[in-house]
This record gives sequence, C-alpha cells and structure tokens, in this order.
Amino acid sequence: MVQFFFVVLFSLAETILAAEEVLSAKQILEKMVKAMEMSDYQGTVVFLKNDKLETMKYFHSLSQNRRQERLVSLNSPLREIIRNSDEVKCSYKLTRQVIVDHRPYEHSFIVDAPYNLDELTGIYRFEVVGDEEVAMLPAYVVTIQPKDDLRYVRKIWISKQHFLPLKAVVYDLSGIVLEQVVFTEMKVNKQVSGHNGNNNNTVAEKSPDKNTSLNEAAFEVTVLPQGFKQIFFARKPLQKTGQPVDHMLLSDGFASVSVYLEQSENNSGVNSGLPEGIHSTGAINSMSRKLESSQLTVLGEVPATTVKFIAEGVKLRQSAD
Amino acid sequence: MCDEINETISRFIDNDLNHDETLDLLKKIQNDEKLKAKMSRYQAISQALKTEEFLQIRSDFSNSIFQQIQQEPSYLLPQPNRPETQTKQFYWAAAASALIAAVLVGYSAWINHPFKNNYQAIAASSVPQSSLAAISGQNLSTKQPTRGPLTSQFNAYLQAHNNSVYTNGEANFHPYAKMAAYGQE
Repeated sequence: MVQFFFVVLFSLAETILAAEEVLSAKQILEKMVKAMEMSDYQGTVVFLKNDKLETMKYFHSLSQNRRQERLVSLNSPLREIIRNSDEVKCSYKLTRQVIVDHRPYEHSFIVDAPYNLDELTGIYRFEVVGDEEVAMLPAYVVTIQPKDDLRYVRKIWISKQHFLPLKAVVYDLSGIVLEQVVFTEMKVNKQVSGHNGNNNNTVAEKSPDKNTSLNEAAFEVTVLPQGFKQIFFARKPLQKTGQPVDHMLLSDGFASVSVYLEQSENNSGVNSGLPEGIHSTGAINSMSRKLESSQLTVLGEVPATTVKFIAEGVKLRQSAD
Repeated sequence: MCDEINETISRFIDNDLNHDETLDLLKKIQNDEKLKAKMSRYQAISQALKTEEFLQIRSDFSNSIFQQIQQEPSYLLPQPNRPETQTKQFYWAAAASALIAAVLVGYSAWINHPFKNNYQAIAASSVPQSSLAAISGQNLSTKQPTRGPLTSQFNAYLQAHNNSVYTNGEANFHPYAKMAAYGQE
C-alpha cells in the first residue's frame, strides 16, 4: 500500500515537472530578454537588411552589471561597433575614423524586445509554432503576430538551452521576408542565473531627458495606433548643413516609428526636401509632407498605412517658436 | 557628305563595315534623329527586299527605352558612391544596347528566312558592349535627376531611426553625433 502511494506520488511529481517545462510563448520571450542581458556569449551573425547582406562576429559580455555588445565586420569596410549602454561607437580600421552615437532607445543589434510583454497582449498574439534547429542548436519558434494590419509579423527562433535568439525574421503582411538576422554559430561562455531581471540597464532605456524634452517638440502627434508610445525626443542636426531636426521616436515594443520635422528652406539653395508621398525601402516605409514651412517625415519598419496614419495626425504646436 | 553617310549605313546593314567604322557610325546615329530614322528606313527596305516581309522598327525605339530607364522610381536605399559619369555611361550604354536590340530585331526577322544564307549577319552584333559604353560616355548631354541630397537626408533619418546603418556595410555614413580620429601605430 505504501509502495503504491509512492508510485502515485512520483508519477504526479513527474507530471507536474513535465507540465512546468511547457513554456508559453510569452514566457520564452521574457526568458530571452533576460538571457540576452545576462549572458556572456559570442557568435557569427548574418544581417539581411535593406537588401544588403552583412556577416559579422558578435560578442556580448556583462561586466559589473554593464552590458557590452561588440560587432566586428568580416568584410569591407572593416569596422568594429561597440555598444556600451546607450552609446554606440563605430571604429573604421582603414580610415581610422571613430563615430560615436547616442542611442538610448535601443538595446541590441540582434533583437530589440520589450521588457514587459503584458502591455502588448492587446496588440500582439504570441505563439510557439514549432521546434527547429538554427546553427545546429534546438530552438523554439515563436511568432509575434499583430492583431491588426498596422505592424509587421515577427518570428524569433530562441535557443532551448540558453534562451538566446538564434534567428529573427520580419515579414510583411503578405508573408514576404523583409529583414532577417541569423546566427550561423553561437558559443555561450557564461550565463548568469538567479537574477531578478531588474538590473541597472533598465535605467539606461529610460533616458533622463525623455520626459523633459518631449514637450519641447515643435509638433504633436495627435493620434497613434494602439500600443504606440512616445519614447524619445531630440532636437539636433542630422546632416552636415547643421539644421536642427526634431526627432520623436514612437514604439509599440517591437515596431518603431520616427517622426522628423525640419524647416523646408535651407541656405544652400539645393532642394533638400524629400519628395512628398509614401516611399518604401526594405522593411522601412516613410511618408513626407509639408507642414506649413516645415517638412514632416514619418518613417519606420511598419506598413505604409501606419506611417500615413501617424503622419496625417501630426500637427504643429501652437506655442512652438 | 549625305551620300557618304547613306553609303555607310548601307554598308553597315550589309555588314561591310569594319569595327572602327561601325563604332563611328553608331556614335553619329546616337546624336542624330534624322540618321536614326534613315537607318530605320534602310533596314526596313533591306528587310523587305530580302524577305518580302515588312517589320517596322520605330526610330525612337532606343529613345523610348532610355526614357523608361529615366522614369524608373528613385530608390532611397543607401547607394554606393558611383561617379556621375559612370551613371551616365550606364544609361547611354543601355540606350546603345537598345539600339542594337532594334537592329537585331530586324535582323532576326529575316535570319530564319529561306534566303538567309545569302546574307551575312550585321556588324553591330559583334560590337563589344564595353566599346559602346566607352563611346557612349563621350556624348553626355541628358541631365540626370540629382539624387544626392535626397538620399543623404533619407539616410540621415534612417540612421537616427535604427542601427541598421551599422550592420549593412555603409562605409560613408556621417552621423549627427561626434566624430573623431584616433592614432594607430
């Protein structure tokens, strides 16, 4: 009788453990976000973006709770790109040029996934659609399916062992691949476990000047697709002319859209304006239009209808200088 | 002069021109609408005489191809810096190719004819494309749309938007951020 009891107990325990191993897509994605932060890993990664193929060595390290991402190109132009928190530094070997960029709104060259997926359940459906192998590593295949036509479908292959992204693909609404990032080999040196997920890096994503500077924008976005938020604003020159440009970044967690406003006239006498209307390049759609004496451009890796929707809802602030 | 060019065209159609004379004639034809029309007429006559069939080739055939190339949508992708003359050479080479294609269309109409063995292939078919591109590049009069500023503005926006500029191999992007040089022994 006692033996029977233990057999039943073990069976129940096994069933419970087995049930716990079946992770939902959301859980896998959350584990991925944490693993990407806390793992020390490297590999060879192929980027296919804007119809260009680039193969690079990738290194991710964690030292004193500070993440560092490093990309080293394997093909010309030879360069090394290092991300330390929100600073990205690109060094060209041939020209010895160093470019320093401030990008507080990005976290990774591989996949930029949000920390909190609960907020996205209204706009995305997360689903595990299968198991596949990438770079000879078993992986969960997770789809991030939008519930409307205002954003693209994403699919991420996540390592079963380390929960690191092995492959990420962006599809348009008809299923055509727009962008792709694939590891061809990956080596995990160290994975820190037992963390609570709230580390100092999350502070970096919340740029201190975010809230103060958002109100300084010369325009306001009156309507946004569901789930999109204003997450960053800066006014700075983007070109050699030195003309300041208002740049606001909107994001729903996976898809991001930038809104730019700059004066149409410049002193160079050259027509520097983008042609009005909708334009496409790779996964990026953009729409430009006149807004009084300024030019408004909205672009992002979202369908054309989304940039049009946002662009038509942008108005100049009454109190703008 | 007029008789001379007429004779040259006639010899061209009969494949009697040597390589240099062929290039020289094509160069002249490219810049002269009347010559193009004349060439078209001669080909039509030749074809009709030889095959008893008539296939009319529009004199503006190559021009229409050229115009269509010009009307291609402007792609805003970061493009490698290609010298302007090289771009123009490309368009002129395409136009020259179109002209040759027009000639070949006429040729192909009678090449399958029972009497084809009595005639030789036209000389233009043996003209190397590189030579055509070279001579075409000397006659650059058509204005090309200026895409430089447009592309640079879009690139600047794209660069500020996401990090793809770092991973797509762009060698000449200029950031709005700080730039510096470092010493390397």
